[in-house]
Amino acid sequence: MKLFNTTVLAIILIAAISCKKYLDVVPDNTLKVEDIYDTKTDAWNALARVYNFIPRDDDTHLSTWTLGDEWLGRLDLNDNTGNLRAMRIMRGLQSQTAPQLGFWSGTEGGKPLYRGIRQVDVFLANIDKVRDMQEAEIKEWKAQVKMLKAYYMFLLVKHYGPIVIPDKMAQPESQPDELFLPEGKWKNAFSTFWV
Amino acid sequence: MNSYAGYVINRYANPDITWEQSEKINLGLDVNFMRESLKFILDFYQDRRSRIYMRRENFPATAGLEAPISGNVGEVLSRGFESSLDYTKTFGDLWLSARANFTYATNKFVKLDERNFPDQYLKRLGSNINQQWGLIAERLFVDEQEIRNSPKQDFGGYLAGDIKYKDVNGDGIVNSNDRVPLGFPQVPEIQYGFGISSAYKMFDFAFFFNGSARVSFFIDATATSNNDRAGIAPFANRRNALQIIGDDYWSETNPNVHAFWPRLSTFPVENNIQQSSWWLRDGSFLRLKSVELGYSLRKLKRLGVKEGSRFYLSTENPLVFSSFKLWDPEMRDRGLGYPTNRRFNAGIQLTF
Repeated sequence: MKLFNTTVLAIILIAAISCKKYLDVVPDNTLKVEDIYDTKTDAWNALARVYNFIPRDDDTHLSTWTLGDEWLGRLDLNDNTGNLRAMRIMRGLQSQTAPQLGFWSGTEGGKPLYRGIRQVDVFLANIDKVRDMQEAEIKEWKAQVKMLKAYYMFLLVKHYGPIVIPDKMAQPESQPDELFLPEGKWKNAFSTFWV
Repeated sequence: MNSYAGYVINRYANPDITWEQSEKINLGLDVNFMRESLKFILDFYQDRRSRIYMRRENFPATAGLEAPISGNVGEVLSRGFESSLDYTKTFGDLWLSARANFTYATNKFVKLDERNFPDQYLKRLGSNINQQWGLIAERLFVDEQEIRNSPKQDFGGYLAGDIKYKDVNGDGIVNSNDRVPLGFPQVPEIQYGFGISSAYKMFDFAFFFNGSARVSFFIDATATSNNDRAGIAPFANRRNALQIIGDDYWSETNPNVHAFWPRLSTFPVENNIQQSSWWLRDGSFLRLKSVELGYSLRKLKRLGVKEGSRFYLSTENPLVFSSFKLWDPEMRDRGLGYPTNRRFNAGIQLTF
């Protein structure tokens, strides 16, 4: 009986120790951000990711070019909610919940530019880790993404005025006071273009 | 034009995730009267479940995160009681057993991480977790003139005979910001049942009712038809219309602004299939669940038939009482789904 008790206690102890480790497992084949900045081929994906936030002005339905009085066609040409978004604004169908071509959070055909800015920050923080890239090449890529960050900020300022400038990268566990930043100042908005 | 998007982030690691916590209080009462022929049971419970792992919706776009973030941010308070009453008695040749039960359960969000909406009625805090939001439908549009003079509705094109919604926040446009909590939760808050089993000499008779109350549902006006949905939109996918739609719809010759079905179309009109009070129905009902009448064959003992043998007639779901008449209210939004069976049985049970 005594032996039995000891065995049970031992099993419980082992279970208690291993439990935490058992749950704390990253599933297989999970690609982490660090894995992307390992070789140049993968890092190229990260560069493409940053470029991907350039607004789609080339697309008829996503373009901001039809946002104006110069349009000489029928405004009610197409009632599909996903089409001719800039014209929907001209028709008075702009909405508070999901703004047309919203660059702030990427609603209704807009690109979420703040995500683009975060991507730039992630890129700049990690690009030096790539093993098979020359110093000069890294420098050039850094220049490319910095230019894009400035461009995204410019677009945000153009649309929304003195924007909120996220100087610290937000984390999933961030609390509201770290997340909801006060509105920025014009002066700061322009000076941060040149990071 | 082709574009190359690079990598995609599906999920962010959150090392602070932990277990939910539950604080339960149960209070019970168990009473017997009249030498245990009348039993009464009452159970109160309260369950405060905190640190519920759920979406953190109040995350500003300026954080630039690409995947939704979840955390232990929810807290729900559930309360309710269960009660049952049992009465069993023999009066000479008559044996009687009556049962009844009644359950009330409700809950509400005490804490959750939701967006800081300027319109307070959009907030889920304090409401039942199964509460539904929807637009307030006023009636159908009379004509183009009225459409021009009303707030714009941002759910695709609409014409005379389509549903006119109320612009709740008065911003001149009807969109998902004008949704308000509608009706009761989708899960019934009250469930009850009662029935009697009895026997008199050779005969036995039993019936049982059950019902639910404080529940709402929305008629599915889409054309979606799969395992979970059974929309009733007519003519979609080359099918026919329900009788109720044929009898009562808006048309130019009969422009009834309170008709059951808005303007007919061969495909569902996006403006009309929004979740709104137009399709809201009371889902409470009382159903006669089963009735059984039997006659025992005790006199056949000499043929080797043992006790317990009998003739019987029984039926399941013969009757349902509800303010909703189109289909079985227990089907809820799945009007064209497979209906609840109504069964009639006649049988002989022989034990040798």
